[in-house]
Amino acid sequence: MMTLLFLAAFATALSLLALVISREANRLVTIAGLVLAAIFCVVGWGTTTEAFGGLYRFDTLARGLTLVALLGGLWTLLLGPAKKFEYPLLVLYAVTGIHIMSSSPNLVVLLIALELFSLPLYVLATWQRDNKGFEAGLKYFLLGALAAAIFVYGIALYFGATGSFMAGAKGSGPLYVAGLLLILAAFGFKTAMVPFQWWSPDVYQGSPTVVTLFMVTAVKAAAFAAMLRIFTPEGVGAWGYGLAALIALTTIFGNLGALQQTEAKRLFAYSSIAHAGYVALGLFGPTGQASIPFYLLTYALATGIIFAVLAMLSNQDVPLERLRGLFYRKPLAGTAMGLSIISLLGLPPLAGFWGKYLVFQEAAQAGYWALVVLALVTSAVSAYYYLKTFFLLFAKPSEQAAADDREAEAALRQFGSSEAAGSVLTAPMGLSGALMAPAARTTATSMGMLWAALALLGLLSILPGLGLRAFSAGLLPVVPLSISAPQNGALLAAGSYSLQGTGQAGESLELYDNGVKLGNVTVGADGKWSFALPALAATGQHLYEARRTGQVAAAKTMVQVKASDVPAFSAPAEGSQVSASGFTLQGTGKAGEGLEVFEDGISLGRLTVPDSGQWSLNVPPPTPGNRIYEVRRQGQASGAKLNLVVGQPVAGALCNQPFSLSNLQAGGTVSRPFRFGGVGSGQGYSITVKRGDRIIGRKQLPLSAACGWSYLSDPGAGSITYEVRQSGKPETDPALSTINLNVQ
Amino acid sequence: MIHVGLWLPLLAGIALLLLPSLGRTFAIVAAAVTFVISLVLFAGYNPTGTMLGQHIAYVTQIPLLQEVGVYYALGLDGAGLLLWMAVSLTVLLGVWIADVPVRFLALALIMQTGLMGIFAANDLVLFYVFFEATLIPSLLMLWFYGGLDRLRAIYTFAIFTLVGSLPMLASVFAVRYLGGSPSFLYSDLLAHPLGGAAAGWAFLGFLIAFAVKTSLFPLHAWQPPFNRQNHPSGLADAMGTLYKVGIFAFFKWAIPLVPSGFQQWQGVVLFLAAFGAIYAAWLAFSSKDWKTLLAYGSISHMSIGLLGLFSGTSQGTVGALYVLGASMIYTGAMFLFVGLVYKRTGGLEVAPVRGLAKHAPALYVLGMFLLFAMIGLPGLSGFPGEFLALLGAYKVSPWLTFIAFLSVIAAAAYALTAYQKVFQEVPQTQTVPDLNSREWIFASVTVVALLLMGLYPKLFTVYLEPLGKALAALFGGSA
Repeated sequence: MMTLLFLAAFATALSLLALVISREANRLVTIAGLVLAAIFCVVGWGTTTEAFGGLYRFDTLARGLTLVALLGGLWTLLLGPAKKFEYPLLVLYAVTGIHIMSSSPNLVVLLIALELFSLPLYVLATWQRDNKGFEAGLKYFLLGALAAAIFVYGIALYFGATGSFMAGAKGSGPLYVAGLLLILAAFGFKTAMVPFQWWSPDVYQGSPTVVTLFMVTAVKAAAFAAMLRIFTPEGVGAWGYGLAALIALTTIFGNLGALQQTEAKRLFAYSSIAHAGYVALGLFGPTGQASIPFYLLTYALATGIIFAVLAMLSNQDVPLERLRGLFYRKPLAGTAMGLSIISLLGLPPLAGFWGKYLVFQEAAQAGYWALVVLALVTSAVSAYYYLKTFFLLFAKPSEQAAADDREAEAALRQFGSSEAAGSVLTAPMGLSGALMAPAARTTATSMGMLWAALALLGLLSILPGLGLRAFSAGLLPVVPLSISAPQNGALLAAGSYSLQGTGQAGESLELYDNGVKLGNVTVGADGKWSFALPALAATGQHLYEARRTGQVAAAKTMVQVKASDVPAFSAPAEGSQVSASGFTLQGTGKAGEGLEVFEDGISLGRLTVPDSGQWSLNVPPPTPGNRIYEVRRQGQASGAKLNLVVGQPVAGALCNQPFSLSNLQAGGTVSRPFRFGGVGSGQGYSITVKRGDRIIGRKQLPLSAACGWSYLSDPGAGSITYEVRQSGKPETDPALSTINLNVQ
Repeated sequence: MIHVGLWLPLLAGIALLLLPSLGRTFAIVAAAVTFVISLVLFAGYNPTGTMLGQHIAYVTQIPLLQEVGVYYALGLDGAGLLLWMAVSLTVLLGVWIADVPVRFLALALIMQTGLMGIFAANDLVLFYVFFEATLIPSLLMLWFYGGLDRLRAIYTFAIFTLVGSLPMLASVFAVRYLGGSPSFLYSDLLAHPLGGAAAGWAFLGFLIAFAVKTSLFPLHAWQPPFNRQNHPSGLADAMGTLYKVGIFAFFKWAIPLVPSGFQQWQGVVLFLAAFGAIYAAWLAFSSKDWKTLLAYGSISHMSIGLLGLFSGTSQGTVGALYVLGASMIYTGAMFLFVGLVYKRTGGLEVAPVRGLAKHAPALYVLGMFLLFAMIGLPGLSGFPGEFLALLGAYKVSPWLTFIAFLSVIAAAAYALTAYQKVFQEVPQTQTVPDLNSREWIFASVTVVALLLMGLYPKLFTVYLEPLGKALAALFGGSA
């Protein structure tokens, strides 16, 4: 909030004061404003300030990218011309716009911010009043206006589809997609992505080099901040293909375009187009909010250094030949530029590598492999022009280049602050910079900025984690996701086990089994999570995955589940409620082994485990209430137990199912006591019990409220026969079912 | 200790770059201390275990980018340890003998850190960083001290390397994100090998990058111009030889992380390696200058190593790693030897330099040892590795092994022809000096190393055998 206030207050106040105070004072006050804004940007890092009902949102993303913009602004001010008071003022306005752009989730505010920073840039682009400057300014203005128009159109459709001006609103349908794609196109213009890039080489070349420095560092940051808020991974279905196409075109044509350039500013303009494509890859990933600012910072530092060095050489065109032997003429500038080029190329260990690494892995995590490979291949292509420039710096210097240097220095004196020699007398003498002669001061400042930028670039190279940690403050899960148990590749016996792992405390994870979602789990305060798997996993291969919401990448563990040798139940789950009209028990066991299932100690029959290792048994209608089921190996006194609750049947149900027998198929052997039954219709059934031909008992079995019938028997050992008939039928009728059992 | 050993050359190199007045003695001391540290590491190494990843000593891990699972993790397995030693010995020899500007030595030292990092990295991204970063000093050496036509050699080298290794980054992502590992640490990745449809592609990514760094046909084309254009002292060539770490990279990373991808590409690589071995030997035979001859000779030897490694057998793996370590030393020393010849004759061509034996008998004997080691004569360092590699490959593919074996015979032909031309023909009238005392030390250390590796290979193979067994176990092999 203070950042916004300082920027806005300084800009407004200086607009009035600039007419009365000296140019030098104006410049220094502007610099002071930017520095103050930067200080308040850093104070409270990691916290989020909201204002104006959510229209202004100063979070880590906004802080990071505002800081990049402030850095660019300061740099361009320190190196830039001071002949006119408008220059610092325009930069200040642009920075203010960029700050608002990166700190608002509201599309209308974004539009205002876009205009706020674009207009000063149009003026700055024409700073050199020659044909090239006018061409640059006009092109920039016309295409910028077009982009703004497209943006407005996109906002309108977006509002129509979602009913909201806030970025990230949920929506669907063709209107939503069209709106997002138009907004994407508008940002395509601003970030110079192919096919919306045509203005950028001309503008970068035609503008004064210091202004180009500002454009490539700060403007990109602003546009990507807004894109990060609008194009969230949740909505990737709507904009994913559009952005993928832009990225593919941008990385291919940006790099191919750079291959044939012979002028340095133009070459790096094309390189900057290509880099926009790389940065945009980060939008696909789950943690782009941290990766993209990191990339932009490394990119801004490297490009900033390059343009600062080019600005030392000339404010006009810099043919590549001018760079020949720069290292021998200006060792610091040559070294800085060489390192920056390597960083842009993305060779480790320089910071540019970590930037590329981070945004590429975002796309990889989201599964955009083709784009990742394309980006990597085009990076390899870019090696040609980067290395060409790099080796030019270290080539033997030519006389011509040295002569050009002297000439350019004279020209720069015309353009730069040194020509303001008269104003030195009136400048406030408090700041050390102002004490020096202006020409010396410019050189000293540019050297100082170079050293500072180089040091920051080096720091990010050696300790990339520091930068990422800063940009991910309050955003990223720090702890990587993992599944610690069961171990990958483990061979498990079927049974109940739990998935365990680590993650960021408090985050919610989604768990999958062979791609089927199992459920969510929340990571505990100790950074660990555990998830009890459904009582018994099916045998075979299981790929368990834990994902952060919206991510494709997952922690995985692949296990083989083999049937347990110990008989066990797999379904229903322990303690669950089952139907009083019968249900099916499932379980596992050793293939070929004989098992017997009991209900409260009463046998429901024996079975042989099939080759799959999974058995099932139909339970005849049980009595409502708590029941304990048990599966035992034959001949053993106890086994695995399962507690179930048999629900109360719904009274008055119409019983019209055909007669059925659930368990105890004829001819089997069973332990006593045992129970068999099934469902049926009518009044009920009568059972005739026989040993051989001798009738030893009769029993009437009315249907229960759940339409079930059940017979509990406890006969002596030996062969026994049960005949089931519809109630009321004489025993001379043929039986509905005849069950021969061998009781043990 | 491992950190000191790793970073000392870089710091010394940077110091030397900024203050060239420190002189070559400083470089020699730095390289010597690094070598001594490698000996200390060797002495303190005590491997146990039967699986890959259990043989790693001196393990450290510090988060680098913890959010995305990247660590500064170091650790040496037996192979990494031996290759680390081979690198520090060769660099020491190079810094000792090469007559080059001090800043050249500084670049060599800087490159040494990158090379040792490749062997010590225990995190795939860190490995990638070292693997790529080493390119920079290598390019700078070629640029600053190379021949007239060096720009083309640079582009060929850089483009081959980068086109190979940048797409490898996609494979790096794939093994973690598709394999489901929680980090890029070696141990985590080993526990989550990548299988399924992506495995073939992921392995291809590694294959191209590492094949460039093995000079596997047809990705070998960068090497002859690279060697021809480099400084005649041979120091840059020796460093380039050390940079050919493909076999190790396959062994430590690509194969165990993507075992099913390895099986898909095994046949292709075996064929290319066998063909490359004989093809490069043929080109070596028709080479007109020493460096081209050595370039093709080294390509041929690396192909034999690769043949052994891609047999997937324990013997083949041990042989491949032995070939790599041995050839680092003998090819590196050979390039430095060529530098000595150049110093005396001013030429690198094989033909016009004649009859050195008469004037410089000690040089002649050194050359004889090196060439015989290169041929693979039993008793010298080239033999055990090639023998084991071919033996391993024979079990998998007898015919391809036979073809590759022909290259061993061809090696004798090209090496002996060159040898005869330079040393034994009718001498030139111009006299050349024999070895001076500095060169004598170089020669004796080299010959001792060649003999030690040739006569008592067990000293080193005990460190490699458990690794070979563990790798073969991935494919169900026990031999």
